[in-house]
Amino acid sequence: MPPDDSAARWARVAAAFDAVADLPRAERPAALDRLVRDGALDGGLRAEVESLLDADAEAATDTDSLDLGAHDAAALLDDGPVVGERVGPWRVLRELGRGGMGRVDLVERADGAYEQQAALKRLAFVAPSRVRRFLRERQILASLDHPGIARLLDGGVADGAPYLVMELAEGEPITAYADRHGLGLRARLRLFLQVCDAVAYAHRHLVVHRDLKPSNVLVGERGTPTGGDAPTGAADGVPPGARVALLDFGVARLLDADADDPLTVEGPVAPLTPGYAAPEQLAGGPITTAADVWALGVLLYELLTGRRPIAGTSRTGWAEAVRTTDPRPPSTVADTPTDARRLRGDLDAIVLTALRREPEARYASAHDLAADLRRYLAGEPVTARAPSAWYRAQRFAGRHKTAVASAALVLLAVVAGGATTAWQAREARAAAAESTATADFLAGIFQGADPTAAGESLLALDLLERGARRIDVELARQPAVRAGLYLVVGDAYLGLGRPDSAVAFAQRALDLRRPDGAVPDASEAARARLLFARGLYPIDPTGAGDVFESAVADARAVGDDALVLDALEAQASLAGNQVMTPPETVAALEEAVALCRRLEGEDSPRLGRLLALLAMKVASAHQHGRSEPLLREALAILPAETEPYERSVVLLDLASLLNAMGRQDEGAAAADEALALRRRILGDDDLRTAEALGIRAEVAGDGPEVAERDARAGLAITERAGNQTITIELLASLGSALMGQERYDEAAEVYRRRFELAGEVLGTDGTRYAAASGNVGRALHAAGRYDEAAAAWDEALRLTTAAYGPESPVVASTYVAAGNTAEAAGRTAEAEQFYREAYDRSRGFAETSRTRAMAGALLGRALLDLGRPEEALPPLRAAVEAREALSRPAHNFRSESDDARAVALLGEALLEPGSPEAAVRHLEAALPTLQADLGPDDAATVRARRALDRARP
Amino acid sequence: MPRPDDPRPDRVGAVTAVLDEAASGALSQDELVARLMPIVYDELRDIARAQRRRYDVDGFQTTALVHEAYLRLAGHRLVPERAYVFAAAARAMRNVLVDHARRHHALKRGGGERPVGLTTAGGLPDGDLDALAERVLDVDEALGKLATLDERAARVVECRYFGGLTFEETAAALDVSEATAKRDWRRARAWLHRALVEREPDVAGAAEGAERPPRSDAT
Repeated sequence: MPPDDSAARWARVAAAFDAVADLPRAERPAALDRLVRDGALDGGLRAEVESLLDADAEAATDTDSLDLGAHDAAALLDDGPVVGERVGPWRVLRELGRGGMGRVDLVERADGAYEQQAALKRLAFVAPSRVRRFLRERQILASLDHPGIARLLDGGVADGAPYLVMELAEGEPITAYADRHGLGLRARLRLFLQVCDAVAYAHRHLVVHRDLKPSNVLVGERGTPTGGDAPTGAADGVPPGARVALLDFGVARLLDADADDPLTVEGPVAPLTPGYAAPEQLAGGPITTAADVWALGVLLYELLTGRRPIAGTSRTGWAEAVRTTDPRPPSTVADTPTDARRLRGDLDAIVLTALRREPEARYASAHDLAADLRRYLAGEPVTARAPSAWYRAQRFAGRHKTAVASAALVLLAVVAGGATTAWQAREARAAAAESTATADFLAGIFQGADPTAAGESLLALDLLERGARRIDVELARQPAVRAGLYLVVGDAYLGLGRPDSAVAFAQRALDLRRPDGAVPDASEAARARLLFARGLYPIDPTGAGDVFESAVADARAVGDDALVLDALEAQASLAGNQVMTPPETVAALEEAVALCRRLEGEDSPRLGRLLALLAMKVASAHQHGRSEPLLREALAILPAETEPYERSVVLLDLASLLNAMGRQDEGAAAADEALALRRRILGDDDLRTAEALGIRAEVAGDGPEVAERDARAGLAITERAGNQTITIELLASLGSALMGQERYDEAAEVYRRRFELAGEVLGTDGTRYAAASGNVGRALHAAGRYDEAAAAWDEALRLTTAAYGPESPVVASTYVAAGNTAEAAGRTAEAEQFYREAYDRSRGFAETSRTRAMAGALLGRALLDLGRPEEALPPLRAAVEAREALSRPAHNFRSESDDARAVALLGEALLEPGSPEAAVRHLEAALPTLQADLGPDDAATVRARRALDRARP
Repeated sequence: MPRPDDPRPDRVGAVTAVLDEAASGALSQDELVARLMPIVYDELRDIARAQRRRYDVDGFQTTALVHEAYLRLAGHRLVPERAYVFAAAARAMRNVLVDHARRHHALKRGGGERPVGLTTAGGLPDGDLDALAERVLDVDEALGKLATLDERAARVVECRYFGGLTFEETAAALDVSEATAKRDWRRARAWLHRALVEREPDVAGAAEGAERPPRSDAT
């Protein structure tokens, strides 16, 4: 582009920018539109203006974007030290380096009191008010005596400015050192462990470094350590004699705002190094050892990948990135597949645990980080591997002071996966059962774990088997402890999908006899019974039903309400479908809800879950009206901030319910919120996000096209994950979206695929498989492929009859559908048979059953068409009655056109047997509604008009 | 503001002499800048030294210096016709800073002697000075480009970024209204921000590592 042209373009852009920049953001697009319309801008120029406006917004918040501070300029112009200058008792020899914080000079003692040369650092820009504290705290820093920490030799104030004198540490930044020596992974980790050890030492002395970064972590080859017993690094390819020295320990704090607490400080932090400062440092939160753990995490990330975990193009941009983005696992940024493979898994987990945004979710100290790295190097399982387990274990151990035993127990239970809920119910007991025996025992399990076992569940199983063996050997004389541990181990087995082992351990707990022959205490026995039932359920659901009964009874007998709650919850949520009638399940859950309200309070998340479960059971007990308030109460208990997942579960239930009740808009809103929550907490690629997509597609609040897109997006997720259960749900949503677009052939294809998949996954004898068969028939019928549809209905009738029982409404409505197809294919006699089956069954249904109304009307019509009007009268009378019942305000299922249809048919039937007045009366009553609602050309309208013509002489 | 050991009387005299010459119309803008540069440099270096020794920084002293000299000359009134001296001072300051930044840069990059102790002393915020030098060079370069598009806006940035002038002084120095100076500043700041951000992947790996575009959905 020639310069003239670009200057001219710029003039137009500049004028537009000036005109628009002062407007409120919302008004800018319209203003730009106007400028384009007036010809002041074209599309390209408009984009240019918009890009400048973006930059303007960023620049306005980016404090150092265009601000050349006076001290910056001065630092640039500082010509160096005045050799021989005296600073306190030190004499300057030459400059060592410099930066914005000040300059570092090589010095020696002017009075000869200290022979070695040292580094003197002057701290610029320290307010005089901080100098006092500086003088006080330098004593603490001077007490740090560790081979990996450059010692603070002296500090003072000269010419009004503080200075520090440190041991001279030769070397280069750890990252540069590792690269220059071409160190491999293990060597890098060994070197990094030296850093951790030095930081851990300081943490033990309650000193936080606060500014760890490569230039503060120097590696030099110091043949003889200056003191202490430095770890030898020769292993794993670390050059012999390589020693780490940390500089500036705690110095950053000296420059910080005033604070009295020795370990933590709140308020804005003066010197931060972008790239290494922890989120809480940026946010001005309390600074603890966790800030150093974060910086160590960044350093480790850099050592392993050559990159920093979080990118940003400016200080403020970076700060924003730290607040909002999670670092990618190191293995995903590795340069080679080999590197990626070595980082994947344990090292990813360790680094990301150090880089958790919440300080309390990180390793508590450098020591814990180092311990996990050592476990990795030794081939032992690392604690970071299950971050949430670690997190919970940490939090739990903080709450209960049973320390190791508790944390290890939680870990055991949580590593096992699904055992968390059971665990929570048990945690109070575990804390109470603290005993050195338990603690030592569990510590033993963890230390002795087989490092070669691969995978989490194998590892956990291995731990459990070890534990199980040791329970008997080591705790032989402590049956009370043994019983408790059997239950914990059994619980964990259950979580790992080994119900048989769970049952076996429950049995062992039940069989335990104390030395005096007494049975274990009743409470323990009740727990064991409950575990037994839960374990038995997947093996023998019916048999488990009885055991649940007795577990609930045991719990009641013990008078332990918390245990009753556990038992009822397990019974209702597991056994409910198989061995209890819906009203029994509802009653059990109602009791559980009441107990939970009392024991855990009105805002307990568990109460929310129970209410949601109750709502679903109430729905399957055909008490639909009760479901909605229960779900709404559950929603009120489960806030999006703290219980996002549970809330999303309830929202999806509510969405399905509202959809079934025909309140599609409200259902869509609930589904939208659920999907947004899941995307936020689980990401776009999680199966549970796919599930939410499926339900949003089912509700189809934005029309069938959007529903199709949702369903296909969900299917892409389930296919990637190889999950079939959720695929089945999503195929249903996809089919219905295609039906909504009248793409019936495709829908039939999708439903057929779903039907087959349901057979493979769920077996061919359940209700879901049977229900899936019906959709195939519906789609084929809609596509006009009546013969294929008829075959599909045959199969559906066989399956629904077997799965639901011959008297079920599902079977009746399947007969209706089969009749429709036969009728459409012109096989009226066959249709009459189907309708009659439906009608006969429907006479046992509630008077408000829509199937009853429909079956009567359809049977009557078929009989009329077959020329048997007398036979048509009873079913048509029943249909009109049923419609009247449905239209009563209490049921509110009134459909005027359906009413009129039935009335008209009844009129037509009355015509033939010779009751013309009654016939005319009925037909005249129905015809206006049919005309208005269905139109003059609708088959029902035409039919009624013809009948009326015949009735009138 | 003047200190007891203030070496500036000489310098104020020098500035005054330059200003007299300028007032007589004998100096072009470039010549004015060239005359001011050594004075500005001496002043800045003294500030740097003072800062190192005393750790108190009162802001850009050089504008204060020019101010003082100018006010002596103009008799305590800011005369618009003479305000261009501020602009010249800002240009001088830019030249001095860019020279130093370039020298620092060359020393670091150019195989020449590495500044002693960068690896042996440590304790410095990571390459702060390097970053600063680079930043000054980047701003200088970007400003040069902006000047080909929008000369006046570039001058406004020069006065404010390098010269430390207020909007009022900038407006007077460039003989525009204050509103214009503010508008120019905002537009130029946006332009420079964009230019600087684009050229600056300042975190290791930003280009290919952590900022890889999000994976697109397979659907």
